[in-house]
Amino acid sequence: MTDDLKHLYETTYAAVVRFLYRKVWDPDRAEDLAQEVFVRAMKHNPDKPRAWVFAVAANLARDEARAAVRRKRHLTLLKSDPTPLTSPQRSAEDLVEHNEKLERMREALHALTPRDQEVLLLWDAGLSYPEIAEQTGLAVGAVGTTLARARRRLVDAFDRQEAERHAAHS
Amino acid sequence: MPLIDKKLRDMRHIPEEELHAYLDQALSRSQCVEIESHLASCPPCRQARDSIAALRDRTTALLATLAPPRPIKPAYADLRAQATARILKKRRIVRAVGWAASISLALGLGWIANSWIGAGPPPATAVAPLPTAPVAMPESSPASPVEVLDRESQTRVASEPRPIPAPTREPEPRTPDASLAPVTDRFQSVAAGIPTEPLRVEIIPVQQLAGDLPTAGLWRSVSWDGAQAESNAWIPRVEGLPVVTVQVQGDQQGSGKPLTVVAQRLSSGQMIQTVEGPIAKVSDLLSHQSGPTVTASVEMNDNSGTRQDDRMLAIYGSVPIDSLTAFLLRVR
Repeated sequence: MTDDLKHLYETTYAAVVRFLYRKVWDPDRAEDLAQEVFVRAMKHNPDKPRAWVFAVAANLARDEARAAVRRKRHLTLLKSDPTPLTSPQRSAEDLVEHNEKLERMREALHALTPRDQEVLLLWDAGLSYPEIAEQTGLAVGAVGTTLARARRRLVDAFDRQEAERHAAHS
Repeated sequence: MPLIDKKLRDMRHIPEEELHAYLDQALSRSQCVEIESHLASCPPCRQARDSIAALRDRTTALLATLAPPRPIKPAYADLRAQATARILKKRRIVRAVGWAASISLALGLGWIANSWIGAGPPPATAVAPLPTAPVAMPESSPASPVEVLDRESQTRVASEPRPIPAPTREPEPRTPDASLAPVTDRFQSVAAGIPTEPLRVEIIPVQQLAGDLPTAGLWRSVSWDGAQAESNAWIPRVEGLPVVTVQVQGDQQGSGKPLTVVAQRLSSGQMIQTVEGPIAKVSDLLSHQSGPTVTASVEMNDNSGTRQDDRMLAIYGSVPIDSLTAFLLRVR
């Protein structure tokens, strides 16, 4: 079991960080939470560690979001932009373009229903249909339907924003 | 009739979600064969498959833009040590709550007894027979493995550890530098001035202890000399107690990082186990134990002069934690 967990940690840590980043939009916080997830897994030694890890990651992200909502009630403004990703190789214009695309993509993702988002992100994190079904409570047969809808809606939402942006610039 | 059914089935186009599942490799082999044979004879479904494949690729590419910078993965052993620390902390809390509950119960019984007797002794008398040591236990228990060292005076180290903690003990002033230092140089820092006793070895078949160890991994019972040769001549044990068994797991050849468990018998007949090995292995073994445990970090130099600090030492057994703490200071 320990070896299983270690192997899971080595192969899945980056995917868990990515999964969490797409929920909390802060790379450092995503890493902190991912470490917390694996420490808990080592403590509990779950039977199905892979599914368990993503289930706990989703719960931690949800708690984080609730805490953020509570903070917002007290503070009038705390805009939660995703931390812009900077790269020394990029020119300033490229960087602006990249960050705008990031923001559009994020809005496109938020245009999905919470369930569609969850299924899509779990799939992208590498979970199988049965694992996604177990975590979301969907029937295995419904995962394909949800995924089909989520993919279509994500691309549609993104394209719509692109079109709006072009219309605004022209 | 069956022929018509087959024709109808062949003419039915593949639903979109099935094509997604097919491309996601979420279907059984027989379902795949069925879909592939249909695709071979149905141009509209082939077109649908191609457009879904494109949609799928585009989604993956769009999601890839929402990736954080490549994370720096901490060492697995570091997280493992955190998990172990939490398990041990939880055990201490459970013990403290247990004592608090027992005291509350005793107080309640005393109060009830007092009210029944009526003109009986005052409540203070009813409380008096209660043991006072457990009340102080959460504070006197080490908050971390390292703190064990500074709370015990050298005098106490040299004395024979008692199976039952002293009823009252005045807290001693802490020495900050000692409390922060890990257990180094094979505990020589605390061993100074203590005369070395000759080792007494008592060989008893390993089966007697097999139930205490987790089944995962291959355990070998070895002779004292063999174990010493195998783990770079250092098998930590509590000085002055007869060794009952020495058990070793892993790394028989070469890497010099076995996990060793030395079982020793107290004069009362109780057993204590001293475990030393890589943090992950020791943590795993401790996670199977339910009794009191004390742990310490270990730093030692290997033959090449490289400092190894990924090892851990622990003592567990069915004796009070104060006794285990005292034993820890007598590890050689």
